[in-house]
Amino acid sequence: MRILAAISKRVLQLAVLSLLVTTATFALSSLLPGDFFSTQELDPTIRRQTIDLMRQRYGLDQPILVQYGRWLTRCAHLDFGESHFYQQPVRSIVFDALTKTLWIGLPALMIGMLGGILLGTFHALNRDNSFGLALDLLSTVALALPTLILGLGALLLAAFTNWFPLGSMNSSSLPDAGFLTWFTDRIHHLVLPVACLTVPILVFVERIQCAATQDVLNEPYVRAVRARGVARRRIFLHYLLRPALNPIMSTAGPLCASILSGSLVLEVIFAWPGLGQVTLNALLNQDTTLVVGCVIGSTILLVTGNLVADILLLLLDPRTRVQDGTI
Amino acid sequence: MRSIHRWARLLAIPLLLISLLSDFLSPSASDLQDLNQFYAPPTLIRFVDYQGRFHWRPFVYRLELVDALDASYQERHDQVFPLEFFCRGYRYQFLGCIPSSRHLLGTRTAGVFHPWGTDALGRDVLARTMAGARNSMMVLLLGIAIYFLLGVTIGASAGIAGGWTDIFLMRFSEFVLALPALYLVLAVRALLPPNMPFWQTVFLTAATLAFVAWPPMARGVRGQILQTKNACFVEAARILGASPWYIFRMHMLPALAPYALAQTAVAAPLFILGEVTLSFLNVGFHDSGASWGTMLRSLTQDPRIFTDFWWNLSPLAFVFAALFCLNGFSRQMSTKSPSQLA
Repeated sequence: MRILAAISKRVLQLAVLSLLVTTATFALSSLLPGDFFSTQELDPTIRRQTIDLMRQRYGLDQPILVQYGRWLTRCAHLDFGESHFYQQPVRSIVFDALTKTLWIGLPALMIGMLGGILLGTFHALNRDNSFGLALDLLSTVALALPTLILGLGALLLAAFTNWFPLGSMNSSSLPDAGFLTWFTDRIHHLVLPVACLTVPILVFVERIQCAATQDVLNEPYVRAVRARGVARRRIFLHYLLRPALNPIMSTAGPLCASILSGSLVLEVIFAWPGLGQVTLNALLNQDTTLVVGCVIGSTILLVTGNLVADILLLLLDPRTRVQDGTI
Repeated sequence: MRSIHRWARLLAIPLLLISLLSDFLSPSASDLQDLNQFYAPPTLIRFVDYQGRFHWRPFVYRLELVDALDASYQERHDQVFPLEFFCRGYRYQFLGCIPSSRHLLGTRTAGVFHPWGTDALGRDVLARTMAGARNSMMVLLLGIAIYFLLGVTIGASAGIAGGWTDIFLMRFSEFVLALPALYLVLAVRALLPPNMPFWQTVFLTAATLAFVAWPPMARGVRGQILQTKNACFVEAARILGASPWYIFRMHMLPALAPYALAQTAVAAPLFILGEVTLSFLNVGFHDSGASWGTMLRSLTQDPRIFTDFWWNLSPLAFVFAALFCLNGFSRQMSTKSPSQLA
């Protein structure tokens, strides 16, 4: 039941967030002088009438409130309009870009979370020996390494060693070979961006997990089960790891937001045509409908991430399932 | 472990000096282009000339472009350019206020001595890196000032006013928190004209970053205010007829100042990183106003820099050093105040 409640809460949040964000984007874009066709007015080869016609076609000659109203009604039918720049439906562009971003984001999130949880627990259990010290040192250094620096560092490595390609999603010289060749080539291109996105997630998760595990270690019940002679593996899995996962699941939501920001930078560095690049170009081109579409796309990604984290938290930690004292 | 953070904090001294004295330390202007000197390697400082004679005064030879395709240079021995301390060069404002034309080290002739090479347009990399340090520092200082004011004002008004103001401001802060920060910054930044005068860029970059970063600060300040709001001394002051502004200034501000300052230190690295990222994405400083971000952008445009023109990589080291240093401070502050997580 609580899971259904969590889902409905997040869906509601998605609707409210998207509405607010799109309203804000529309309002702000009306403040900006000019529109998508302003730059084309400077082009002497394009006639004035053509531009006016185009404006009429996209409804840009209307006041901003009318534009917003029209856009909202179309949104209700899941039609997010057409991009001025690409002359394609926004929905397909954003969907396409979103899947490309997920190619980087999902593996990074998986590796970062799993690795961070393992390393953090290990760190907390080896607080006082040289392993703990080494991890302390590494995480301090890694914390000062944002994705921007990491990405450029990785590019440096790729340029020097030729182990990895310098960017883009697939080799352009790829012959029309089978799926396996295409897939290995894609993985080869993925290694560096995913690695660069993983490191900050890993460090973040490691820190929280380490602190959480330490807190749980100090709980009296851990000593109690130890005194009762419960098997070490059972202590670790049931009494240590499971309660210690609560904080990391609660912070996984904001983590999704930082992944989106991080992947934007990496997409620019590695020429990966994902959501970040599309958003950036749409912003610079004043392609309002596409910007709004991208914002909705990223909001969906964000809220989905939060929802998954909520459900995982409910499944992992029975304390969160307590409602008015009854489970 | 502590010693790492202490060393990190010590980095602040050279970084501050560099950003304060950037013009004095750089041998040539950061925006001076010389297309015949693009990607020139670092100039060798010599004591021994090409005939093998030793000179007490260090000097340099001028470099001449041999092959424009792979930017290879050769030293020309026809002329000797002696290096001078406190040499006359381009005019600038020492510490931003004293007109001067003295530079720490340089040659009388401009555009010969590039101690750390030049970039794709023949601009001095060292001068640009140091000017970038100065610009980042300005955005940082201005940014944390706005951040502090914005956070304390919003948090305090939410805490003191309560009711609908409180609910509205806190929901708004949650809204800002929920969005991906970089997207938000980009959205705000894209609404501003692309080419702005220098000072406008500094101010708007700082303001945009502060606009995205304020929610944690405001929420924390609100919590602090709620703690002192019903304290006996505040009540006593209210009964004695003190105005709300007086109570805030004399009784609440001192109580929340340690928290607010610690939170500012924690947020400081974000401003450097934010400025660099914005400039990197072409929405911060313009290419002519040097920034570490614009310098790093050139790396993605010409991969030859990584292998052949490595001296252009210096901003990488500087960004890392600056973030490492500020992280040291933020670590110190966050371990000092346990209320940081409130």
